[in-house]
Amino acid sequence: MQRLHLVVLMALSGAVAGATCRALSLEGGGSKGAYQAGALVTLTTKLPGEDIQWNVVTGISTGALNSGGVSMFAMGQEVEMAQFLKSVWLSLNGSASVFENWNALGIPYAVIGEPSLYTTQPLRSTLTKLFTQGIHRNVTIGATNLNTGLFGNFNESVGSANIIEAIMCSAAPPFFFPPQNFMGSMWADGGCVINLDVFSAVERCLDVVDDESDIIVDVIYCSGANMAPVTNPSAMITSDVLGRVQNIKSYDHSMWYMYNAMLAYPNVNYRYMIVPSQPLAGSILPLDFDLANLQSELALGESDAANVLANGADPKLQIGQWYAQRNAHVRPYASSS
Amino acid sequence: MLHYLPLLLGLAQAQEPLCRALALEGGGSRGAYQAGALLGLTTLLPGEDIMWNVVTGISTGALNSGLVAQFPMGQEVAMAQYTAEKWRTINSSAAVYVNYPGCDEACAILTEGSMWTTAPLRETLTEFYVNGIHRNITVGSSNLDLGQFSDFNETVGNENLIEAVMCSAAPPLFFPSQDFEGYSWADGGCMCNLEVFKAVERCLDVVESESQVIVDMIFCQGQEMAPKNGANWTTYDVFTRSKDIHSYDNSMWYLYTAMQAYPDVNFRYIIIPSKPLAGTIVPFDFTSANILSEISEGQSDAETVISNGASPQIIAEEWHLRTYNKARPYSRSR
Repeated sequence: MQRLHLVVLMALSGAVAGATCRALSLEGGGSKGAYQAGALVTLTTKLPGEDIQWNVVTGISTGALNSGGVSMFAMGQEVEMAQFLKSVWLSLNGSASVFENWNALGIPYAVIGEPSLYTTQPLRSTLTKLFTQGIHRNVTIGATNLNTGLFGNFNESVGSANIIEAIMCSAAPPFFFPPQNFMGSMWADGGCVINLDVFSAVERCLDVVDDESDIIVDVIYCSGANMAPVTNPSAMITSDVLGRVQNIKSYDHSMWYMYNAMLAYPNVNYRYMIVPSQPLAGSILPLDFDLANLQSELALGESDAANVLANGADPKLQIGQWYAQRNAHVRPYASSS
Repeated sequence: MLHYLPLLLGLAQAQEPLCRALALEGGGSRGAYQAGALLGLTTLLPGEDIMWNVVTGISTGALNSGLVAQFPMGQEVAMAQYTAEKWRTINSSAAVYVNYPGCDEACAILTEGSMWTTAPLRETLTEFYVNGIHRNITVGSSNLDLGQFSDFNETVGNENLIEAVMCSAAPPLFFPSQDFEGYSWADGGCMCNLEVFKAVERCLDVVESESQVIVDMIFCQGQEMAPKNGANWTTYDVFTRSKDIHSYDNSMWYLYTAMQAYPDVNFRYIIIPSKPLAGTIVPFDFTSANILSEISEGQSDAETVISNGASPQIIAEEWHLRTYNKARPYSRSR
């Protein structure tokens, strides 16, 4: 009986020989999600099959969208998965595939009469058309519950029919995209609270393996420290200011969450951390779904991932440097304990 | 000049065995709540207990920090009276922001950097900050050029204190970013809405060890928010609600992390709105009625905290467990 139980558990968890659990965590960032698809193409092309068998994927916002795509493929089908994601991004044909004005009155009406500048009905249609294979991998998606004020997660238990709604909840940046009514609550973008859910990535693996040291976490960002210079910041219009702030905040928060995850789970193997090495092209506001922009983001994701594989720094070292730099005026934890 | 000397000497030579810091969170018109809480603290606590060496603030907390800094250590009762009095002089949004000339909100978000201009706020601050800087102060802001959080302190001088506060109190979408010292700045709360770290660090310039540092904190936003049901959310409601959620979460993170970083600091009082504050969801309700109600909430919350409030450690731990209840507590993995 016990043995049978074990076999069932192993089958459920997808744990293969060696009892290692791999998790992939994808940050939020609007149209910069194309960068993640590029990074995944390289990872799955260059790494041996076993190294990329992610048991679970966690994502926020555009990272949730990509997580939905990842979860359509079972473990072992990572190469196909990455090619699929790339094709998804290349199939987007401008913002019309994602959002549009509520009506002919445009933004001036929407600000007053609607809960957001744009409606994301096109995004729902796009996802419904593309995500047809059902859920075949563990997935966790985060969103912000506007009623309770708490961060919440959805996972594969919502079922294939509802995974698109879960993604819509996670990918709903306030002001731009409308909040979503799902499971009795109103939800806004997960990135309002957490834009990179490293904690869930580790926790879900701890359901599969017993020991932190058997866990490998790979992380793909959308935001980076290097932002496109703004030649005349004081001339930025409102949405540019919001886009800029979103990037600054996202990078800072995501680095904080990585830092805190490393404190909380010191024995986890934080393997690859792929962060945009240079400012992504496109508008300041990361809602630039023009094909040329998506292609350039895909290409940067591919080359950044190749660089990380070839000579990337240890994520712990990178996070340590970030922390030291950010808090140059604050004494490091070590000296106070 | 001479009257600065005792203060400077007091700070530099660390004659006081303790250094007290006050950290004020950001939150728009809810800054009136902090004015009320300061009244409560300064009325009920003995003089020595409220001699804050330094005040740190973000956004509306920076505005209040500027008011606190107008008074030297020892004059906290007068400081709190002054702060509340100044908040009571605000009787409409016109004291803080107005539409751009000939351009309503919808026009402004498409052609300007924000919905409103805050030229009136600069005028108001000019009326508030008339005494000069007499206490250590740190206010935080987000540098839009460098993508980094930065601080300003008393070295900017009283004339520039107004600009520093304007930089800190510039929430994107609503208020325009500010040009100062060669950079463009947006609200400090974009990155860090409660500067606990700096409060501790500035005290560590005054005293030798963490155990000599006392930190008091006043929030603008609690976990519990005014209920908003149904589907009739406006863009501003959604934007603001998510900002409030982020603010509370972010401030608790910073508090929690500061407690990890400085385990021996005495985190003494934490005053958090015990119930949703009145006023609109968007915290730019500068009507007299709302401000008076927030002042009174702050005062009564402070009284409650002093008489039977939970310790900040317990509040931060409970928050951490609730929010990250799926994550194993740090201690288990060490």
